[in-house]
Amino acid sequence: MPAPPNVTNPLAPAAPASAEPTLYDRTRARGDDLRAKPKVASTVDKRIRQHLKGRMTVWERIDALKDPGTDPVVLYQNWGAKLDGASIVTAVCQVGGRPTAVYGHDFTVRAGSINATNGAKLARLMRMAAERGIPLVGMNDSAGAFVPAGVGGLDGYSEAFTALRRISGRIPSVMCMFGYNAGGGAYLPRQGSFVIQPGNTFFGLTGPGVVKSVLGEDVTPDELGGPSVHSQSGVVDRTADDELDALRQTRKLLSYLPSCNEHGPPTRTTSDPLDRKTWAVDTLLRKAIDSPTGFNTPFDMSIVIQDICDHGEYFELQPTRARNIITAFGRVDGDVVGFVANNSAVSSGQIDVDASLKTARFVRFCNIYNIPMIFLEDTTGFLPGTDQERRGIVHAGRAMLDSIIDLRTPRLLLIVRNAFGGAYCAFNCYPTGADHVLALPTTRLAVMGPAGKEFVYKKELRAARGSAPAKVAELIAEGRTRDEAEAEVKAWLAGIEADLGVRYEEELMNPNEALSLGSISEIVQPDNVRQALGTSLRFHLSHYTPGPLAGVQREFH
Amino acid sequence: MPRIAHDRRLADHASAWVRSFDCSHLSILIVCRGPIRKEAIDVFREMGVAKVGMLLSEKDSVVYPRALAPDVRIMPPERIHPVPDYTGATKAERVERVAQICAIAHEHGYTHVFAGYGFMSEDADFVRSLEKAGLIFIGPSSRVVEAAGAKDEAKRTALQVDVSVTPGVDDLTSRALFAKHGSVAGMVAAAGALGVSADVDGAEHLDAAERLLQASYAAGVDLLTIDEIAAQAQTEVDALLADLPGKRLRLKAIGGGGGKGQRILSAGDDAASLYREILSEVKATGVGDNKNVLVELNVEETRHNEIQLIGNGTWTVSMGGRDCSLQMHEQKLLEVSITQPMLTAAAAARRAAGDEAMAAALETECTLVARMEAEGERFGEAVGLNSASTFECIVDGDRHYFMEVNTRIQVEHRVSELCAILRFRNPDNPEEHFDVDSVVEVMGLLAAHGPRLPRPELAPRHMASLEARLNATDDSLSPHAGGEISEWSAPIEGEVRDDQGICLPNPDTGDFVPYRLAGAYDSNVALLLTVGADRQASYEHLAEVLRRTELTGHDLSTNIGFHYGLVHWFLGTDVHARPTTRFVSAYLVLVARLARAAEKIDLDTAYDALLKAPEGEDRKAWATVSLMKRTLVLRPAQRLLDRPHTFSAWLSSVRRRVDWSGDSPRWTVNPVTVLHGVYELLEMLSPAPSRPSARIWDHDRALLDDAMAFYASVQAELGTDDWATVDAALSGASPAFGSAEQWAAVQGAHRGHQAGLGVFTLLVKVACETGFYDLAPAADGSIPVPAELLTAAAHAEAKRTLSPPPPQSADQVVAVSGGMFYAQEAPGMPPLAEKGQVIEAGQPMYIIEVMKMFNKVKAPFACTVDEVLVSGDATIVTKGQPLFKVTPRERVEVVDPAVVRAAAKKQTKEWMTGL
Repeated sequence: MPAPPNVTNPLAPAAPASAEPTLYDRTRARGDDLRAKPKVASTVDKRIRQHLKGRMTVWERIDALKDPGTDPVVLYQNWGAKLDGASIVTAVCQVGGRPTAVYGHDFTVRAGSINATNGAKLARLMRMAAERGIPLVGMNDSAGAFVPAGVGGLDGYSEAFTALRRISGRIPSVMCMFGYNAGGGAYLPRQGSFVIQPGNTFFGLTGPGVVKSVLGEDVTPDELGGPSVHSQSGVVDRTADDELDALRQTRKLLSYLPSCNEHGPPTRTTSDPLDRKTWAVDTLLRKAIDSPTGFNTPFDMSIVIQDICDHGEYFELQPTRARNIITAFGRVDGDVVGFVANNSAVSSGQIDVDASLKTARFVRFCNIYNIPMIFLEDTTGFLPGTDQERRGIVHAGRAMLDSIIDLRTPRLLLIVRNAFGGAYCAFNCYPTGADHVLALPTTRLAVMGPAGKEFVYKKELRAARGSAPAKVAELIAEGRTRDEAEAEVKAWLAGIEADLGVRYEEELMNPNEALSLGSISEIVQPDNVRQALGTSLRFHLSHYTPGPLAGVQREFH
Repeated sequence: MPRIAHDRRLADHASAWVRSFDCSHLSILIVCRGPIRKEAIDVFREMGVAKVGMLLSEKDSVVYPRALAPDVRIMPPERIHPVPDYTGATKAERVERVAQICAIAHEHGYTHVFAGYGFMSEDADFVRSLEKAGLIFIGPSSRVVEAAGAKDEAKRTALQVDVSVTPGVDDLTSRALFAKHGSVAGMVAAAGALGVSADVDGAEHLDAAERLLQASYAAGVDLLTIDEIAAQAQTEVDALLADLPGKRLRLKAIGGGGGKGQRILSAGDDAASLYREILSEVKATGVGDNKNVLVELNVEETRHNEIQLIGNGTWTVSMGGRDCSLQMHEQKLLEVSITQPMLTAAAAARRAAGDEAMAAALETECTLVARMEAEGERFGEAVGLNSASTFECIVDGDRHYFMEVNTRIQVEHRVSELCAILRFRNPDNPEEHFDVDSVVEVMGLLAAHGPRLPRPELAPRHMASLEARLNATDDSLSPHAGGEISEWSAPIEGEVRDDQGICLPNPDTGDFVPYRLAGAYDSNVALLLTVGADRQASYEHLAEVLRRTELTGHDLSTNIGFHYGLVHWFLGTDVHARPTTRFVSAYLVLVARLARAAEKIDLDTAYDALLKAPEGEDRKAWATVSLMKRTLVLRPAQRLLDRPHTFSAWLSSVRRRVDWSGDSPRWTVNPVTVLHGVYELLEMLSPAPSRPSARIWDHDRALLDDAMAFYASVQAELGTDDWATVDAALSGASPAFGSAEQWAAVQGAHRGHQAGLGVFTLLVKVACETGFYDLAPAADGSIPVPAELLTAAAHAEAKRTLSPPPPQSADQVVAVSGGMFYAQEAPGMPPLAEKGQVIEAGQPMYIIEVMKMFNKVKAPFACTVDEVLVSGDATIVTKGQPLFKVTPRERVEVVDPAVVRAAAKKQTKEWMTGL
């Protein structure tokens, strides 16, 4: 019978015989065992299974997240009846040079499930992070409640939910969704500030199996709760290619955020001169406006943001959802700024339900964490239509408006091109509390867009249209056929309307009235945008004292 | 590490003569883009040039987000000059651009202009305009560009100085003019009637015709119609084919480049219509354009060699040669140095090793290079070359034919400068000298001090060099635009990387700045170069560079995998093998076959078959080993199957480690070593604590280390590392060493560590059946390519296999949103998509106006418009409303992945029973 296979090295030199351990030696050895227990509980075969799914273990994820060459301080290492940490790792790591609270489910230990006790462990970490004012990163990879734990497991979740809510607004948190998280594991992270989901992961109320049995719906995990689904609803703020990418993005995002609500975000001296001319903005607008579609040519507003920011670097939130508005962090002269910018390249830059909600959330976050904001306006208004009304555009628009009114950090508005009607009113104009409103000469600020000529030139248009039948008769008298006459008069009317349109655009769709009323403080040339915004920001920031929000709690959203 | 960045200033040199060549008084405007731009910025600054400025086009700044040209990061804003584009789409725009460049130069005080190897670099008109504007062009003068750049003119010069040329006709238009009028007088009269005259005294008839034609170009008048020349082309083609039976001919526009304006024809082809196609392609159909086309023998088995020349108007010196045969669609991919010292040394080394066939072949190659270098220098002196140029030849066996001269610096110039140092000695005092190791630097010196520079000597630098062009292409080498680079590891020791500045970090944070490869221009991202004491070393070093490069991002596709496979192919056969220009597309057919074969392999099935407990044995032990080794074995194997080019690289790297003599392939080395080798090839062994999922898992590492240690001990005990001996010893019932009790464990370990590695045997067997190993060099280094790899059908099939499937295609194009539909961009402009029009994917197709924004909507896939379904203009449409009825160019066949998997399981089972 051939020898059974093994994968050891039987020829490895045997360990030298050691002396009989003393009582003290044995005590120390027990200490070593305890320290090693969380990692040992994760047996090799379980780690192999995790790796077979293409996922990292929680310890590997911590390695990828923390600063190289630093060691995490693991807290409550031996929590739980089995003394193995209860399948959640809670630690404080150095991330971007700052101590950061980190937790991660250990899927290799009882599938990372929440039982009666580890919800409490998670809550302790969160409370400590809030007390010390350090950010929180969650690496979620949990199969959900540990069923044998019964109600204790549910209570565990409630304790964790509550703790996370109670620290919300005190410290920012970034939640990574790894693996398949269902039920509580899906809710808990969204209580955090930002959620990042890589590909090949799922989270949702329940998995496809339950959905199939309850509703008869046949869906794949990706179709039900993958990144392509959640990024469209705003449940997820960023998608990533894989776990490593998600953790890298986490580090990047954290570099823009303060440790807690008592401070502003970390500043960073920059070598990019504040007086650098923004030629890209100038060229972009020139190309758009000198093109055959003139002032009605869409362009990508992110290029303006890129040209304003230090060394062109910015970080977008929800980049694949409602990109008719761009929400992004960037730095101007070393200070972190929250940008909200209409983007005419997508859906003509209209503001719809998704754009409003996306903006409202972002503005509220900046408000809580002392982040100044710059609004870049180029929108023809809120999107009309039955779809929007059914989804509650009034409600959503109100949420956006309220968030802007409530904003207490320094906030600037640059009107880039279009600013019509209600959208102008809502979008950080002076009455809503803007600190400084600047405008480019390409500004078209009016109660209504070009259709407004119908109202302003009502008399002229009525007269022209009224005289049309008479003109037709005249032409017939001169020898034209009826068709010819009607065509000619139609062309003449179209010419009148076009001329009035041009007149409207020149007389009313410009910044003059706004300037005279003080709705716009001054005109800025497109190549000077960075310097103008940066100088104003520096001034207003210097008179702003960062600190926690205080005051009346406003209704809803 | 090759010395690239260093102080080149001559102003502080001890010798006054050397100081006299100082270039700090120059102010240079760089008008091109690409890796050469950053290289030029660096070199000119190192030379101490007073100021260096660059143009920045809209496509490199505002058209695409996150695609701002990286070299902007090292330029002060006042030295960056915005232009709509680097050249012009039309002739009128080009003229405008040239004027703009002159204006920028005057306004900002630039004295010199550098155009790299792009748009304006071989344009005689451009150079003349600069000369007229009082600016100095860093490159050959307009006179040289005309003499050497125009293919027919160049061919005539070549003949005059005894340069070997391809048989053919280079004066087609002259012949046509003479054929039309029959006499010199007739030609003169006809020309005169159109206001064109030239001095034809004493000229024989074809020469007279040529002079009249040149005059007509200057006057902007046509002396011939396109049809007349086309007819003459047919006549000449028929005559040549009669003289060269069984051969093919090549028609070449005199003004083409990069493969444009060329057609191959055989007997029976319509030369006249091919002629017309060529003219359209190079946009030479205007009145007064030079419509001459070369008619030449098409050399079939071509290798592409070129000589780097520099000259000062009096002398011309060769810096050595480059072999650029590794190319696809006329685009070079991998360029290798060919110099006499290297080839001589290589021949001697082969002779010493007893390889007489290769030694002789290398000596022949060396003689060929010597001849080409000598001819290049003669040619350069004949045209008065006064900067850098490349003398390009096609090589067939031991014959070479002059093809053309590129009157500019080329992408692959570093290959030559890495192998040669130009030493300029003071003729009055040979002790005083200075060295130049950069072609860009010498171009600057020639522009500033050309006539005074003495003829340089060549001093040795590195013996061999190699360049890989890193392009944003997919596995079929087709351009893949839109990806974004988010991470690129730093260059390793000995890696020369010309990356346009992409790797320059954000100065504030030190982080990598993501860069989007928008595909606005060509697909080249960077150039990677290595050197070596011989060609083998340079190839090994490039393989190491490619192995250790971590280049990742979103939707990113580059040819780094392709290069890895190609470099390993030569390392696995012979780095001195001589591929022809058809090699790469044939090689791709093989890689495509590997991809197809990979689809049929189900690794889980194979592994389970190998790890199944044999009859009567301990099931539990086998199950444990199966689980423990699963990721160790399957993870790297799956990576090979997922990446056909990496699969190719691995197959080449193990080529000599397989014994094919039996029914099944057997490894001649320990399969554990093979496994270790796969991990190394995939760069999964070196530490990267912050990238655990990019490396071998820790438990797999422990197993692999145990296995390697085990066999090291076994080899020590047995006193041999011959695998067959070790395997036999360990399989014996009685202990070959150690105690009987231990022997069970030892045998068990041997079985355990070998278990599952048959997966790699399967990979090699399946690959061999695709014919991958049938492509191999002959004893003399030539590479016979099986005919089936050369057909257009095979190439098309390879592309379909290796290129990702196209996006959804359908019979209709529907409105992306509700709004007002417009067929054209603005009133008075032509419609964007008309009936019968062929539309490319991404081409604007219609306008939707929503909320007063006129959105240009692009075609989702390539198609032909059968019918426009929207009547009238300015019509309201709803979202999803059909706008065009179309025929898509490519129909996607939807394959159910479950079916593919099931087929793979079945096929793999069959294979495993065979092994």
